[in-house]
Amino acid sequence: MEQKKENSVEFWRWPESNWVNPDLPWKKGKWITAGVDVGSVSTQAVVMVDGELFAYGNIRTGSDSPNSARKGLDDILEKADLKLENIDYCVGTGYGRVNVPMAQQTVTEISCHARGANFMYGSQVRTVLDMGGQDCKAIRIDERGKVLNFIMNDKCAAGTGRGMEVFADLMHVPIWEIGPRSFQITREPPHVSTTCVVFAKSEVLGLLERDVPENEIIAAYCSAMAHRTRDLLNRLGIEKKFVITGGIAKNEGVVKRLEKELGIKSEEKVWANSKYRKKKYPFDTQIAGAIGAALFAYELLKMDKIKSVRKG
Amino acid sequence: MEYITNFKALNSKLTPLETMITHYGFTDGTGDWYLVLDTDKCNGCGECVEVCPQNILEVGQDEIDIFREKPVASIKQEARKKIRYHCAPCKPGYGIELPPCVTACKLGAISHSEGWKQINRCEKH
Repeated sequence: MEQKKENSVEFWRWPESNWVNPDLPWKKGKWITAGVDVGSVSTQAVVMVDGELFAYGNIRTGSDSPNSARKGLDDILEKADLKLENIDYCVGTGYGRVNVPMAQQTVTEISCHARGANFMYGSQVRTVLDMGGQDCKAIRIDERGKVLNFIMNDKCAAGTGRGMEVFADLMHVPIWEIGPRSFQITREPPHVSTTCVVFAKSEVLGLLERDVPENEIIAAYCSAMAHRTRDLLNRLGIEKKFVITGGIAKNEGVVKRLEKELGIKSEEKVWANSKYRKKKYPFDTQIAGAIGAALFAYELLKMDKIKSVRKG
Repeated sequence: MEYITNFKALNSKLTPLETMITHYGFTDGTGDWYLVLDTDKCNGCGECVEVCPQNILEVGQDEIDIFREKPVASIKQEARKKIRYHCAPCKPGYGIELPPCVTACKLGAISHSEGWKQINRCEKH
């Protein structure tokens, strides 16, 4: 059994990542805050020093949410030579936010993604589309990253990261190749009639039987996903600048098709902060929620300090 | 309440949102099933909570805008994915009569999506 497991290739497995800011000595910082975003598929942890990005980690969520949260944070703490005691305030967010043991406060993922997108892409962002592991959120925000209007579809896994993982496994194509391969086609295929994750298998098998080229099936699935997301944005209305966060944002096959359907370009995946851009800090679309949580932690901490000073 | 559906006309026509709106519910193959709350209009009086026969509304701390001090109405967590069925009994004839929550809200903060045909107090008056 063990042997078999090792030999089989897991096509859905997307790479984990972590990063520590080399230019920021945390010891000189006044307040260190952390945000942990425990999603259904991935867990992100972000550490910020006085509202500046210090470190982040992105791992897969296991079956045990508290453990994933702990592991996600511990990994980067170790790398950054920090200790849990050094963190002044921690905010938990995401689907498993009640299961973050070290969090002093929980904030909904909608608020956090809005705040995070505002920090990452800049204050001109008005529409955020988060394509997460098992849900899809469309959020309208103002220049401070405050939520003005939102829709969350978490009732159906079609058009989400998990759906794409299942599809990658079905097609025996590594998940990061889905995007590029969906463009290696001679013609844009017709829509897949159903994007349901459970029915995807029979649909794909049917197409393969009819000798439809593999890349065309991939393209069809990508465009079906884009189409579904468009319906969500359609309801909310869309305003420039428009950004996409979450795991699917890394999949060009879906992003390009969605942009085409909407007739509006999504913003380039670069830091709005010119200092970050200049120093070429890595940009991960999946960490928006955790960044938002860490920023909320910073704000809540400041508020708490002010209150306690007034009381004292 | 109007939603932008024509994306080509979008860039020129759309004005920024002025009020904070929350959509509770979902979209599935059969349509849009949302209870829409304008949380800027809501003052947390709780009249809607009392009249809801399905008991799916509640008033409390705003979970989206955590810095808001005023309480606000929201849909109970466990009811959000079943909103279509919870709200259906209040909509005989698909929205000829106004549901109790919409009537009870003096501020016109509550409306429903077109799933049951859109009913909006603001439009009626």
